Amino acid sequence: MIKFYKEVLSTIRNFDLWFNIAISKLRVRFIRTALGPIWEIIGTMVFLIFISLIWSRLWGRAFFEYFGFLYTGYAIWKIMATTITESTFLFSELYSNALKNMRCNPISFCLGNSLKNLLILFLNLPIVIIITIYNDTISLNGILLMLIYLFLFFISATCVSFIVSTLCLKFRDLQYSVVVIMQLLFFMTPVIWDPQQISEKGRFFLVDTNIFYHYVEFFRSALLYGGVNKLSIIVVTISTLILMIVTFFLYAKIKNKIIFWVT
Amino acid sequence: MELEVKNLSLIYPLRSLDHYLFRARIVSLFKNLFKKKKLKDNLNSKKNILALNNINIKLQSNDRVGLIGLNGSGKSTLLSTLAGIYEPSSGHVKIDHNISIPIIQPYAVCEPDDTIHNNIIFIGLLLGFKKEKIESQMEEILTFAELKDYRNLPVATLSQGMKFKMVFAVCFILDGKKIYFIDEFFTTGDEKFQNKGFEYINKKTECIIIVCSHNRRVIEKFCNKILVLDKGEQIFYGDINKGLDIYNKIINS
Repeated sequence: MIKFYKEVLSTIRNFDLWFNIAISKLRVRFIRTALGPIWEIIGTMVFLIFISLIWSRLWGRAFFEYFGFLYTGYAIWKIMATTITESTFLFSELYSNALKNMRCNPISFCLGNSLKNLLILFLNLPIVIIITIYNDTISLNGILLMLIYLFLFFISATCVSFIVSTLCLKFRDLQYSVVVIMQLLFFMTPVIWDPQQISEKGRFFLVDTNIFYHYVEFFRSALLYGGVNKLSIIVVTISTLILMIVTFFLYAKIKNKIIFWVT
Repeated sequence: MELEVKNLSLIYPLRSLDHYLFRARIVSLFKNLFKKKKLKDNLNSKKNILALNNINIKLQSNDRVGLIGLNGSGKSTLLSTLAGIYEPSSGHVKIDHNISIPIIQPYAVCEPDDTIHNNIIFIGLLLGFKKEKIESQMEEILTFAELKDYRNLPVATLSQGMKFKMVFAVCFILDGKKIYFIDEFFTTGDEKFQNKGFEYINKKTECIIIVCSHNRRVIEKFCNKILVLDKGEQIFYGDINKGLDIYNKIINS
């Protein structure tokens, strides 16, 4: 166990490698475009402005208030969903050549994948902050909570990335089912709708017991309201710890088998 | 510095593609409805092969070993196992992985849309070099690879031979590694560059180099020992001429 612990620690310390993996993917994604990563903001903005125009009227809410609610929720959801769906082919396709030909730890690619998506979230942060300034909801407390959240989120995203990548490598059918599940979860999780809009019973199943909701809520409430409900803080913190433990034991158990599943 | 391999064996799991097919499983189930034993055999299509069996070698500084054998004899698998990509099923490999470098198919990890400069950094990092070291030797790498004026071109625009030059320079120009595992590396690239490469590697002292190749010229020109493999077994380890004679016999048998 100590050997595996040291391996994981030395992979985390090899920041240059996983930072390069993240930056390289981000750079290639917008290569040969004039606006580069600004497209990430434009794409999200245009999509959410149109959705907000329609849904704010449907639900009788002020446009800017709903737009802020939707933008913060969608920005973090998009990153969560992208991290998970990209993980389905991280080892089997994206980095299979590196795993087959280089002696590199698979966790490096998970760290790189999570960091890349976190950097995409950072591209959206200025817009989120402008919204909170406009709605007069920005606070120091909220920003501190957001920073704590981003730290926990990065750990969770890396762990989920490793778990999903290895499971999808071994059981290839999961690649497709994970994508379908994430699409369903988008509608089941209060990203575009408010938890107040449903009944008590529905809230229990779709909101309180939905881990994804707590990850969205932590980020959204920290920025929009300057505070987060205790349940979301507890769920996110405990989930991160559990994910770390599961990832470590999974790593120790299957690390040497990954190469055989890739080839 | 030494590399010692004791009783190394590797069991490689092979799984027929049929194994994954739900349709194939259903068809098999109906076909063998009354033949329980056969059904079990069909479904259990997972097989393990002994890819490497009881390999024993000991290498010292300045040893250059040529790995030779027919296709499927386990050359690349042995190289990958020594490089730490595969974990041995049994036996022991005594090696310091911090100073070893696997040169198996380095161009496979290139990001074709990214620049030559960025790819050099990426490959270097994957091979275990520090970023500062790669940056500090960048000019030397680009000059050796004859790519100095093209650093901002995407790798996709390079020919296979030019990619070879780039990867060769990354692997050998960067200092700090002492054990090189090279798999069929010298087959691409023009003869002029190959000679330049040989000359450069020959100047390297206090190194251990293991080259896997079907090319006798490479082994004769470059190595001082030979390891002949056949079906995962170590047939011969030692003098080159004797080893090549044994290899000839395997070919003609």
